[in-house]
Amino acid sequence: MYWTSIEETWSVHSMRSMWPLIMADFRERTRQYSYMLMLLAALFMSYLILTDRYSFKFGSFQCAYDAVWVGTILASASTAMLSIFGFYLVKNSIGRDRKTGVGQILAATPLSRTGYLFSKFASNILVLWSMIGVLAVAGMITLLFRGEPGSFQFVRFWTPIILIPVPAMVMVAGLAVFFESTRWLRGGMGNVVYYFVAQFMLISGVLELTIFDLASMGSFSRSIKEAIWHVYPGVKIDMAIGFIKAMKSDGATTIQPFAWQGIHWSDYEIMLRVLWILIPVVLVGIGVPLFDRFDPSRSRIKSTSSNTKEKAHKIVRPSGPASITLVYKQIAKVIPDYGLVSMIFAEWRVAFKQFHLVWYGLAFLILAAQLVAPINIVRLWVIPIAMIWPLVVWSSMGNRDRRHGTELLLNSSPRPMVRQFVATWMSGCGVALVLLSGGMVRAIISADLPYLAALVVASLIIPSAGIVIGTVSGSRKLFEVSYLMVWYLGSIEHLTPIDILGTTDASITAAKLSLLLLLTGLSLLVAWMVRIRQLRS
Amino acid sequence: MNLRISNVGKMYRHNLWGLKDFSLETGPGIIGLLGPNGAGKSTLLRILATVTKPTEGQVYWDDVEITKSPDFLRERLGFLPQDFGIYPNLNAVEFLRYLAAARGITGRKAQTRIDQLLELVNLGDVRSRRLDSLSGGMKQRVGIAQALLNDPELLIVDEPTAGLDPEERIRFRNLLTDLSSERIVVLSSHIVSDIEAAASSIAIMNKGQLLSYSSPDELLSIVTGKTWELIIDNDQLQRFKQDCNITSTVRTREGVKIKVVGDVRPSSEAQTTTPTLEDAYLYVLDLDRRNMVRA
Repeated sequence: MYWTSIEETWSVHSMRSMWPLIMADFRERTRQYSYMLMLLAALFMSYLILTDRYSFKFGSFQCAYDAVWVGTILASASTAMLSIFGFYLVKNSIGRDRKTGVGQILAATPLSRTGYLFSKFASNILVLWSMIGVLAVAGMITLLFRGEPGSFQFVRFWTPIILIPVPAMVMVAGLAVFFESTRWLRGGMGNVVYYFVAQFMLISGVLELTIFDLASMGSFSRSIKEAIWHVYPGVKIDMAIGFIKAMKSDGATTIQPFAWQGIHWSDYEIMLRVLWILIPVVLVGIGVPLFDRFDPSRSRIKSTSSNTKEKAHKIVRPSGPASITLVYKQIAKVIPDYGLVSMIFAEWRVAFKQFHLVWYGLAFLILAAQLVAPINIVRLWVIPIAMIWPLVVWSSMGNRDRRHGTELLLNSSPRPMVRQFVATWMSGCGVALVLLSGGMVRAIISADLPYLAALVVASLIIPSAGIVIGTVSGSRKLFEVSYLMVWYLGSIEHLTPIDILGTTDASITAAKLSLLLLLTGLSLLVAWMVRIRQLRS
Repeated sequence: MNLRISNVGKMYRHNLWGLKDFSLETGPGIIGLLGPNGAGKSTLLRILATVTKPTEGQVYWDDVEITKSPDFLRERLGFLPQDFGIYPNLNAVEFLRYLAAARGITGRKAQTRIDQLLELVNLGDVRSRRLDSLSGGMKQRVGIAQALLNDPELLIVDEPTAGLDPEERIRFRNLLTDLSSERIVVLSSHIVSDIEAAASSIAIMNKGQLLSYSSPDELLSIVTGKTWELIIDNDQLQRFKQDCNITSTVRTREGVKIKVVGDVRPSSEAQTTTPTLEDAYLYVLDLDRRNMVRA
């Protein structure tokens, strides 16, 4: 392989040649709407934090609003947010080069695979750091205006930011490159896998798994507890994160002040933060041999089903000589019927083609488990798993044509709205209904009508959300991220208001089901209008 | 079977017209669209394919205004865009079955037609291979097959021979000729020889406007007696390039043999020669540029 033979010579010269690549990539991405939207969302979040609307709460104990406090909460909260959303923002750098064809141009230059991946790694870091930088500046400005007199101390403000989000974003940047360079992790599967990886790293602090604690939440809470116990020895501290107003309504009364000097970073903790910088470097290095460097011959080339192969021998050839002399007039005429059912089946064929046989096997097991497992296990685990299994089917709805560049072919076909749009939505609903069918049967047998209603509504709202988000955003990622969050918090963590799968009786109310139906209708209306606008543009 | 384009225009941004005041009427046969990059050919084709709505003007298919009733034409339309994507996980048969369903063609007969179309475009041997493993030319032939799925009355093909090898190009040109007896084919291409070989009428466009619309013979007659050949020294080439519209240069032992098209004989040694469609095309474009400079 040519690339392999020329690569891996690190020198000042190669770093120099990489710099324009890094900067061009950085500029390209910071000029995208998605970057601006993410920045606005991050700024809004920092506004909520800096104005004490959303914050960390330690029972009735409260420390001074100073540089250490603002710097630390900004550092922790921005790490938590960008560890999830930042990843999905930057995990398209190599994919974009693949899609635009720039990758193949770069592949024909002396740029090595290592050089290419590390330049992507560097530009990912710059994109994420730029967001942290903007948030930090917003924090400094707020501190200057809102902080207590003399509270602005530059070093104390920046220390937690340098030690928490700065290395954490290097990790996120590296993981994004690793996922993109590994074929199996490139698509929707990778998005799901990462979500769980990120969740694990974020809750590690709470679980006292210091070594995986990306946001240093463990160090933060330990340090706060020590400071409180210094003043109020042995007191019980209820730590919570959320909207302060909502939390204050739980009966908290007098504020008990305490002095906090910030996290006391031990050598071990600093070493762990440094590890977050070194690990991604290794990960990107591992990604180098896995990266196909835009060489189609390294992609999977396989014939599709054996069934199709068999059919190849059964081609109905018109009477006459061999195919090379086949003329158009000899080809069979057809009469179109414009039926909806055939279009739904066509949508299914395309949607399911991406899955391996193993996927179908596990889907069958999920269905079987719905029929035989104890009903509480079915509700708490099997149904939620069933509703994450076809995630990429729903996330492709409304955007597959744009992602693959087939929109001109489809938009010039008859009745694109009443056939293609409706068929896409119905095929998504069909997938949900099939994968929930076991649970529905159990609900019918046990005459649990509210649960049955919840499952039916879920099978409508999920594809509807998929089609509206896919149509508006033109990408799969937004639905995948937002649905994963709703699914995880609602149906796994049982946050009742957003549990759309009715995992507990408390999460099923007539009002909520009505609201979800209303949202279904609204989603379809918006998706319909946006699609019509796209067709007319 | 009649296609009528009446004063069609497309404005992209304020006062930036991709197409302006374009009118044309045609019946069965191949209409070739010629023009430089940015002439508005693809914009026109997208309007005809009902993918883009014109800012002004109307398009009629058999007296039905397709801007108001796009489905009337879509049922009769085959469209091969200049750039189109594929679903990489599918093979050619599966991809065509999907697009056939989008055009309302299903069932066993559809499958038979797909099989035969793949044979027609010489892809029978690779019908089971994933699309992302096909070469550019093969993908282009899948595109050609999909445009014929519904046996269209109006076939719109934008740069259809891009990526095809010479043998496949000739095959495709013959196919177009075969098709054109019973349908209208709108063929856009940069390759004048493709148009020359197939088109029954030729429209030349530049900067969003129609410069000329005529049969190939009529177009050739414009430059009859206006093409010259002469041999010059290498040193003179630069001067001739500045003063004349050179359509070809060939290096010979005696010097550089150039072909010039224009109203004035470039030199007393120049001999008149037989014009080609390429000469006529370049002459019309040059005339338009000169008129714009004068204006």
